[in-house]
Amino acid sequence: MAATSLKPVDVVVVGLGAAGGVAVLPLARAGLKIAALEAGSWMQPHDFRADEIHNNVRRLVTTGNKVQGEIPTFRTGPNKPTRRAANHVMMNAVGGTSIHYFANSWRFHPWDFQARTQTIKRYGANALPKGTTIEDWPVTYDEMEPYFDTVEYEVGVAGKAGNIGGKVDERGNIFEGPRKREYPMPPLRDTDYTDLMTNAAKKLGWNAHRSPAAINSQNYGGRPSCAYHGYCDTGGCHVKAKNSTAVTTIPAAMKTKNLTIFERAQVTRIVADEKGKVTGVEYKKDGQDYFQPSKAVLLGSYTYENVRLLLLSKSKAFPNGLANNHGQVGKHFIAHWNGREAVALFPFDLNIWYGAMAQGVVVNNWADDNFDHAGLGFIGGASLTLNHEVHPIAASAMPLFGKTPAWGAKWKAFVKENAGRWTGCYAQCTSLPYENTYLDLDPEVKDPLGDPVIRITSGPKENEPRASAYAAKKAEEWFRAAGASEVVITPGPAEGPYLSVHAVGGTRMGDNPETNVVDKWGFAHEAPNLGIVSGSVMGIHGARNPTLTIQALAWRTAEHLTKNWKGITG
Amino acid sequence: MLKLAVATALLDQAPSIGFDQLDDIPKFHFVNTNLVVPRSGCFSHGLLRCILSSSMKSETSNSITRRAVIASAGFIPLAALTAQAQTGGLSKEDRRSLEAFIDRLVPKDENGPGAIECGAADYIDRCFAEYLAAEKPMFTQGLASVNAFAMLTQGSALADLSPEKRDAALMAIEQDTNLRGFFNRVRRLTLEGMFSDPSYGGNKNFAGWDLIRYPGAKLASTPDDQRMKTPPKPYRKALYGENHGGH
Repeated sequence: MAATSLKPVDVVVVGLGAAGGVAVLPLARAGLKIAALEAGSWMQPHDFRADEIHNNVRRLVTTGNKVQGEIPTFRTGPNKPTRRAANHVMMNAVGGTSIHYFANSWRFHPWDFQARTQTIKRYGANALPKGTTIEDWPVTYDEMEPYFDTVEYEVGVAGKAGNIGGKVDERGNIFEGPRKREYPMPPLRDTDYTDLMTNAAKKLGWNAHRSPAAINSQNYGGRPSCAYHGYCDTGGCHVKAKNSTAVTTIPAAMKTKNLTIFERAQVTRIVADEKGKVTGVEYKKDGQDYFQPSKAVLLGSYTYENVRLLLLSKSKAFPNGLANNHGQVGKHFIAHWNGREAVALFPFDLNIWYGAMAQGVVVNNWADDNFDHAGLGFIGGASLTLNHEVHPIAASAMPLFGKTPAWGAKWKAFVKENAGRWTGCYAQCTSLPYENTYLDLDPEVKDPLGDPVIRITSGPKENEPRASAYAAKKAEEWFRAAGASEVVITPGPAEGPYLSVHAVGGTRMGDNPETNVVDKWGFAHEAPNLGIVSGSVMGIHGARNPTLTIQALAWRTAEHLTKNWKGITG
Repeated sequence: MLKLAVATALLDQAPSIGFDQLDDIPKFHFVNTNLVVPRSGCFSHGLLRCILSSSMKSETSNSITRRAVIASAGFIPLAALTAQAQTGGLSKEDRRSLEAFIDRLVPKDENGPGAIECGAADYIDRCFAEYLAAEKPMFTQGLASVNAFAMLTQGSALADLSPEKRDAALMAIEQDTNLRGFFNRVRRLTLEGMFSDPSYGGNKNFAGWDLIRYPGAKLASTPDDQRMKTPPKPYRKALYGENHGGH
């Protein structure tokens, strides 16, 4: 059946999640007419429950929709067996992943933007890891600062500044890039546990500060403060205190009347003319096919889906996929190297059941280039986070610390004593792009529409395991200083995490069209009226959660479109 | 001899079960989220089919969820919905094998009720009637393999063995290359049954939560609830009311 062609709009935004949901606001305020196509629907507070089975075991907030048929396959090399995950957190909904994420809201470090140059300058060219395709970003931290600031205030972030205009404050992150002003809200609630961990870090001479969080610590934007009930992770907020785009920038954009949202609209192709200009998108909604013409397209779905849509959108001008005449779509993919590097057992109850994942304490001394790497054999590092929010099933599935069998009376006595006395240190490593790590279309596995899913190839690396092992030792020191009786370090495979809830790269941003898909403003080198707002434009994954940086980039790309409308669409 | 031959044949089938893919604490995720990430073992097409069918199942279950939500808003008794959905759990024999198994994983003792008393078998049975229906054939095959193993090594099916002999059989099963995956799956489901909200059929009288001193799920916590030296008092309320059936 032929697609119904709709009335043209100024801009189509594909995906109304953490990035697309931010990008619509500057567009709408500039008076552009926007059609936002979202594969999911609006979710309501009653969808979000204090229920581990619902959220974390069955994943009913994050699954049961389009992405479940599109989970990528993965392998460790071109001739290795390909596997598919049974379950992976992706999301379709108005607000996207910003509904269920932890809401840790970081600015990437100034070093992240220029890691290549800075590394060569400080340690020599040989210090760059083998096989990396790293480039400096075409934008610096200082150029990003106004966008970070804008998003922090539009969305609402709670935290304590560590550097305002060069004035350092030890209650915040002393290693952060200078910011113009304080966070719009103070950090989330202090607890005995956050005090314990802050003091332990201080005892070691480290800087410890509270996690920056896109969660209300007080009334903000007409919404209440966090209820700290402990079901934030992989759930959504039942009181709208988590500042997902569904309760912040999207409603603000809707007020302008310039934003029209199409729910359950699954974009299948982006259409380009013979000159290489995009003319709109094809999508399916409730079994019907539509073509939505537009003067510009902003692609804002998750990394995997952005790459997949581009590779699937073949045309005369782009026989290998949209904006892929240089073969760069899918290259420089990075699955963020993050995990619980070390777990610890304490001789007392921690009482960290309630609260939020973002109610944490962070140490950045061993991240980025905040310490001397001479002789260490790696660049970058990891931020270390200890936080609240533990669910009872996960607590009981605890590591055994070599103290008990995995079942029976002895195990029962062990778990009775210790289920509330252990935790893991969340170490997030700098993660680089490599020649051996990329995305393409799987030759066999298809989604329910018959389109191939993404295939991840993720080969072995040296830098990340070393950085991660180094961080784990620091985590152990931190745990010991806080009084832990047992610490176990659990190294991961050299290929890294393959699939990641922090999957970035694949449509990298850079000045050189031979090695990058989008230019410094986020628009495709080969298709100038196609912008990409997503983690897929990032060329390195910093040692912390990516969302705020993705959102700041998205704002910047959207604002650039409004300021250069004729040049881009003309 | 015939029994032995059947048992051996069943054990030969065990590797196709693919439970090795289901891991309790995956390395590259956060401790709280129970994400199932394959960590070892080869990818098989049989498994892919199973995974695909269970993800299709999750869509079905999700629609049940939404129906249930709508129903609860309209004050229609949820029991009416769930009673219908509960047909097709484990057979009487499988239930007996399961209970013999999980009774040893978490026995009743001076530390309080065990897996059975906590209702973990009810939780698991209900899962296979509803949410995990797609996994049921695989699970039933796993129980058959366990019984075959018990028969070979201890002389009887698991449920007919003394607690000591069941422990010996389960210890060997836990180490067995082919059966380890199934063992871990049963253990995992037992933990879910003991420590989930009572609405799902397990954690009866909050015995699981009391065991580990989890104070209970509620909609807000106060600053005092987050103190370390004066832990919060237990808050004994099930989310949807007990025996609502979960979904």
